Amino acid sequence: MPTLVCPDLGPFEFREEEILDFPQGLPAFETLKRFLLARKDELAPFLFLISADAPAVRFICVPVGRIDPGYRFELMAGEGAAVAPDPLLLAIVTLPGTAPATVNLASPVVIDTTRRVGVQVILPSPAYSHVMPLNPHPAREAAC
Amino acid sequence: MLVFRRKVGDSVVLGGHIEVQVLEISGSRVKLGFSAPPDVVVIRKEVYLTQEENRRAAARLAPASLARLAAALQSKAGTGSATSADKP
Repeated sequence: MPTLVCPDLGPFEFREEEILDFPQGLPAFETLKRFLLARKDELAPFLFLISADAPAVRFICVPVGRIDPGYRFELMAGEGAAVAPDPLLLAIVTLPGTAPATVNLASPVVIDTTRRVGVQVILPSPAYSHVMPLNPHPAREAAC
Repeated sequence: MLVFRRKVGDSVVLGGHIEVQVLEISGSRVKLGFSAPPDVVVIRKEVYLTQEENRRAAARLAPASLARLAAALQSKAGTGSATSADKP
């Protein structure tokens, strides 16, 4: 079974048919078009989108519903072609060293798990933030 | 911020070699045309922000901090945040 070795998350075995196709790549990584969506039980609820061609490139993701159960957006014409009626919606997490983690709700990753095709949608309106704090204890910190 | 009022067909010039022209106005939407040298990248701001955030997100991380964050999210989902002993 082939294995992807991600430098900071370790090895992931996978089957070729698990690979997701991102025809447009991801913004700033347009040349990388094949990704594995991997998970580790001990790191749930996070998921990892790992480049099959450059495994050092990996994105930490979290299901959008875990962050904002009311999350809604509309696809622009042309963006919907790659998207299933009930797609997997992920938000990319940024974990910059000692600074607080943030989550990008303005550019969700939309995956058709049946056809195994994905796209990162760039929402036009400022309704959602690129750098929303990923705060596991919002109630406590809001009271400070 | 510098502000100009322009009509359809009018332009502004930036730095002597970049021209931005108002092509069309329709309700709250405006269509702009850009003329710039090939080495000047012109993209929508939300695309730029997505590129920048993707670069930051793909940077190397300390796995320990990821594990701590995962544990915190799991405890939030399971028992709420009241059990946390974190200092603010």
